[in-house]
Amino acid sequence: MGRYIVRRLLLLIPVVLGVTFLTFLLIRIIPGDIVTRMMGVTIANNPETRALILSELGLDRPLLEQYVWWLGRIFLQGDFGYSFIHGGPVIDQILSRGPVTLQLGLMSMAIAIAIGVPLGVLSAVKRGTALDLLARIFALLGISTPSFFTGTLIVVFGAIWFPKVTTLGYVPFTEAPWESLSRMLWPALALGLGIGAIILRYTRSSVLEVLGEDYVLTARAKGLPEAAVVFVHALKSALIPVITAIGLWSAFLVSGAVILEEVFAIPGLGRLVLSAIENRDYPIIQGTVLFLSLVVALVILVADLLVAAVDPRVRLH
Amino acid sequence: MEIRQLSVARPTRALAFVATVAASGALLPAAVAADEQCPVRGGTFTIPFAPEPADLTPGANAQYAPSLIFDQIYDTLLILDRDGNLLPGLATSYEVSDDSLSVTFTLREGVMFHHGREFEARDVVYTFERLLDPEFASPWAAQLGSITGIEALDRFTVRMSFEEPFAPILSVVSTAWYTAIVPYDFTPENNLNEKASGTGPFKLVTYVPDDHVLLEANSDYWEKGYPCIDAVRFNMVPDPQTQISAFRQGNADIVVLNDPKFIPILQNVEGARLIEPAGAVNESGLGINTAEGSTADVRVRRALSLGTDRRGVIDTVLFGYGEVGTKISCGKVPYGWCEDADPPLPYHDYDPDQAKALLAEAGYPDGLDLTMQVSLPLDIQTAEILQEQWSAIGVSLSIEQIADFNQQLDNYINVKHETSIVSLVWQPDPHSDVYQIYYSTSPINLGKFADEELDRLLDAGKVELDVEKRIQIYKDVQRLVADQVYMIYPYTKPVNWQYVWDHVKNYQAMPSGTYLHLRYLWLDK
Repeated sequence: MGRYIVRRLLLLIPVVLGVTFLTFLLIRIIPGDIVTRMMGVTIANNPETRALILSELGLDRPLLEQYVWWLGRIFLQGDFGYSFIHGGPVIDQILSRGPVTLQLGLMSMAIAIAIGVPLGVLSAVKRGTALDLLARIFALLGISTPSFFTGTLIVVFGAIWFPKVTTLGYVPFTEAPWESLSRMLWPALALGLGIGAIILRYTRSSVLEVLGEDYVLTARAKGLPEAAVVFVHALKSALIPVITAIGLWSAFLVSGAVILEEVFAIPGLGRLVLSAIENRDYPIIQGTVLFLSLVVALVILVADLLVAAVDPRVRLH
Repeated sequence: MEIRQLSVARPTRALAFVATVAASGALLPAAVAADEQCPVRGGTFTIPFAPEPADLTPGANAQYAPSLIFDQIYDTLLILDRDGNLLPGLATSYEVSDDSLSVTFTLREGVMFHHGREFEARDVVYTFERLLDPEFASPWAAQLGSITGIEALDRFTVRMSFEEPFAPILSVVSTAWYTAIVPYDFTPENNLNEKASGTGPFKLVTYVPDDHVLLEANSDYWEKGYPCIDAVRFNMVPDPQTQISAFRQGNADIVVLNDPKFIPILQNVEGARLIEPAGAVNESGLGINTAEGSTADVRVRRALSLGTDRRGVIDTVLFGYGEVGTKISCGKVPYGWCEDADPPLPYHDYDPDQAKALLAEAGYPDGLDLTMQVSLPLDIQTAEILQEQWSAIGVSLSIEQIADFNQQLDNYINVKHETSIVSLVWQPDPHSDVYQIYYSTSPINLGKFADEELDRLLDAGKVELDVEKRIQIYKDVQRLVADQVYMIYPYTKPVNWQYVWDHVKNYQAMPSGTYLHLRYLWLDK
């Protein structure tokens, strides 16, 4: 198990390097330039001022040098750099926004699991019934409706039908826990429904598969009650692919958070990246994407380790 | 009344604006007993706000959004009111020298900065020298024209000197976006996003990026008795739909709509009212490449202008909430061209038959193909309407959607287009409004046109101090541009449309979209 973890951790290095390098290149390839953004078209077209600003930002050096310099400072000095626009340290921004997105992510995942797993099991066990049909229709709708659409519906119709309920904005959990949870519930619901539908499908097919296995047949033949067959024998192995799926879909959560934070006006990491892209604030984009890719990679790793803990076969490969 | 008394030293040659000071009382309620000023005091006024201001340092960048916030924190030497009049700000009067090469401002005494020091001439000198400092690289240095220096004559008098007369200076010193007055002893050593000090009606409490900007009332504000409210909160809400929802849920006192398609949503909401827009000053600008291609022929350009049914564009794209205009539109008093009051412009009224005849004359009897670059939603819709309108005169327009506005901007600066639509930004003076986009050597000349007569007029407008003559110059500019069709302006519209709840009293919209009236409004709740 120890060697497995070490191997997986080592594999993280090329993944994170690849992501950061791609981000670094992509934001420089997309059109629009930082000087125009900051200074307007007149200054941006004045070669002298332009050169001055570019050299102040370090953007006059070769691309590769900029990349190595940026990465080196992070790994050797823990220095994520400073925003081009307001000059504040990037790491401060990431750390102050992180908890907001974390709360959104955890609540969405909780909602997704709370919907997906029980409905999935039920749908498999009651296969072919009206309940199964309803669950499958829900899954289809959940998967095919983008979260920003669900989010916009909640925002627009929430305000018309329930004008007294505040669906927008963010209050820190430490300041007003109840208010914080009740406001975050709406974006978490918009995000959680989609992922919940996916988990439902995984759970359903996985449980169905396991229910056909020999050992389940044996359990049934022993005369065990159906509940014991499903929950004691079938569920444990049925949940293995579900855990992997949850890990993988946490990456989806991050991209969903970017959009929903915009729709619900939540000051999280997603908004941070979006505003930074809008302003061509390279250090913030690079720092946040590095941070997010590390988090996603670690979440997937933890999910895999959980699977390995449940299923010894995984460790051998 | 005294605080509103702006003594115009040379009324016959007042710069830039007619400055009918006698009428200036119209803007600001008279300084009377506190209860009459503010029947109810206190409360927080909440504004859903976008885009993210990012940096609240005056003069440091060209973004418009931050200026809407430091408008509240800082003051300017003069104030431009809703009707284009100049009112006293931190300067109580100004005097233009006989040769028009210098302007002397008498400053208001007893004004306190938020950090507790009295405002004086040194702050004005510092503010302008900072803008002109090449190290600071302010985008607004160019707005100060041929300025050669600024000096403090005594503690409350400053003089600006110019190489040649510079007519726009008074509107430049009235615009916080360019010239918010910052204190010399505080600005250099502080991050103005965290701690700020100005003389404005509100003080910065906190700026949490992507979340909110909180301002509290400055109880020492020089306009005694104002502001009426305790605080202003700008909540960062990027999505317009979400802003409307925040308003409807009562989490905002105002909602600012940039696109009139949202007006019907709020039209029948009980207790909400639309604030009368302050005039249409925001033009849609259609740039045409006049250097190469079929559009280099003036007959083709005239045909395009004649083939454009401007009223039709306004009725479909803006649901009627716009006006037929040119670059200096009617809302920009006193320089604007008004459809009702001014003589009609050449090749401006819809006439598809004449358009077809002109195209045939230019050698395109069977029509021609053109492309149009667009990126923003209203511009895309405008292009779609034009596609239909122009097909009637035989022009087949293909729309090239550019994903990124900055890219389109780059293209337009370098004239890598046949035609291109961008919404143009409001500027407080006709010179800054048109000089850069029309002058032959300007880096952002939208169509690569070089017209000696146009250059001559623009140069004249820059230095002409007689307002009547200046008005004529800019009307001539517009006539010339219309005649040669260097640009087409499909519509002009207010900067935005603002809805407030009924409990918001004594609030007015400004042509520039700034929130000048936050200091005078009161909340009846």
